[in-house]
Amino acid sequence: MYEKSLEPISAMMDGEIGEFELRRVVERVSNNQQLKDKWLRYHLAQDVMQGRSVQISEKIDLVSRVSEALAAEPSFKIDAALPVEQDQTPAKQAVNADRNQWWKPAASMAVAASVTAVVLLGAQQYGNEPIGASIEVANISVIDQVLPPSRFGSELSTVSTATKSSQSTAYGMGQYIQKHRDLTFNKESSWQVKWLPNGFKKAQHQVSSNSETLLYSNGNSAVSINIEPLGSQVASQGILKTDELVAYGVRANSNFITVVGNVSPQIAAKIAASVVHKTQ
Amino acid sequence: MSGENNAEIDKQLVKRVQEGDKRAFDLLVSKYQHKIIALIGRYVYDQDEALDISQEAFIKAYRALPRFRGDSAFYTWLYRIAINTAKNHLVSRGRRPPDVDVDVSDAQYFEGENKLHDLASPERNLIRQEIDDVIHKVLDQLPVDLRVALTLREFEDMSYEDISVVMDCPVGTVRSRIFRAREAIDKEVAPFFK
Repeated sequence: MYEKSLEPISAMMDGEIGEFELRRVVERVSNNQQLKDKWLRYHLAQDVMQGRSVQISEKIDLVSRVSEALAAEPSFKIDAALPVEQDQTPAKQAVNADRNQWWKPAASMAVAASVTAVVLLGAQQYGNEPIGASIEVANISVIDQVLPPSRFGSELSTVSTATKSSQSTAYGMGQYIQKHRDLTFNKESSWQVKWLPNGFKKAQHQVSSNSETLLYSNGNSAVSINIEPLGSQVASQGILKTDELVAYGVRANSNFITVVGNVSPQIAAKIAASVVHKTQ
Repeated sequence: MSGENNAEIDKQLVKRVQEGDKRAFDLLVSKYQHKIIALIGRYVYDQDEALDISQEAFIKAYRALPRFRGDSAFYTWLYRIAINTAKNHLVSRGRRPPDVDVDVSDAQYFEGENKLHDLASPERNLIRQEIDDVIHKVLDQLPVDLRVALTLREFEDMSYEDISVVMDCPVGTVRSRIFRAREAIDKEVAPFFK
């Protein structure tokens, strides 16, 4: 019952309540220290999750300090005749709005951005190089110390820490090792994708020692789904959009699922959410 | 999109303050205090000093609210006040404000090379890291419906309505799932503040 009564606070955070409910929640939260603390912690957790710059200290209670300082101040009713304070021109606001739109996903995808480019590259290589392009990507954390950045071009150079010496030989051998692994592992898929857009059928399926990649296509669009154990992925949770492709990565219990394709973020998320192990 | 909704809730809280409800301002202070202190921490070393400047910035914001009509986002306006308060504070103490300013629009995520002073002590960094770890651990353990709902909300900035389409469920269910996910996280985060 208590928990249910907190639900509007969460919805208020997201701006998903009407004016009447807002008034009631503001009254409730303002008069209850526990709820005030809850409101604060919800936002703090959100800020941390989204990678925002915050100062965390258990001792900070600016609310009480400001509230006490303002206790003697009168409440006011807005006077429409007062001049508007504008700190920015409309043009600058528009620019900043755009910049904010760019920043937010960029911040939450700080790690993923450089790395998911490799995933995208992996998907693009299917046509030319059927031998586990995405599998190589999945294993990049294992072999990146011997991969030459030049092999994948500028995209991979952002994630590879390799030096140039004797790397091309190592990379080439790495491919054969991967081929061997692919051959010696069970090809039967352990995973099931329970939801796909209409018309999508399985086009390819590859299994390696620590990941599995499924490719679905409807003839015009393609979606690849990579499943690997949590911790072996090279991207963090989030989404990256390019002109053509969307890459969506999400943790799922002890695994990490990455969906890449020329579909909308919503579709990619829905596909990722539908991936289940066949034993489930 | 919910980014707009987030600005919208600020606007509604501001409106309530402007209409005479001072308590609504507490919620704005609570929501932004950690971000404002972090921002001001780029101008001064000392945490007590940063707290004093932050307090002054919020008081200035409160007094200026009658003139705020929401032409810019509240947080943009508040950040600008906080930066100006910090710079004025330095000048009043005979200290020169840094040449490198913090862009208001980037301040939320500011971690760049031109970072000014940083308040974060190793101990505070550790707390943040621990909270970060705890949050991701809880996220991993959440039932998939809760995790996906919260992920779509927090990382993709989707509205409840958009999430309901993606997850093929009513908006009320989305609201409940996001709340339950937040509660699961809060249960683990709360002990850090006791």
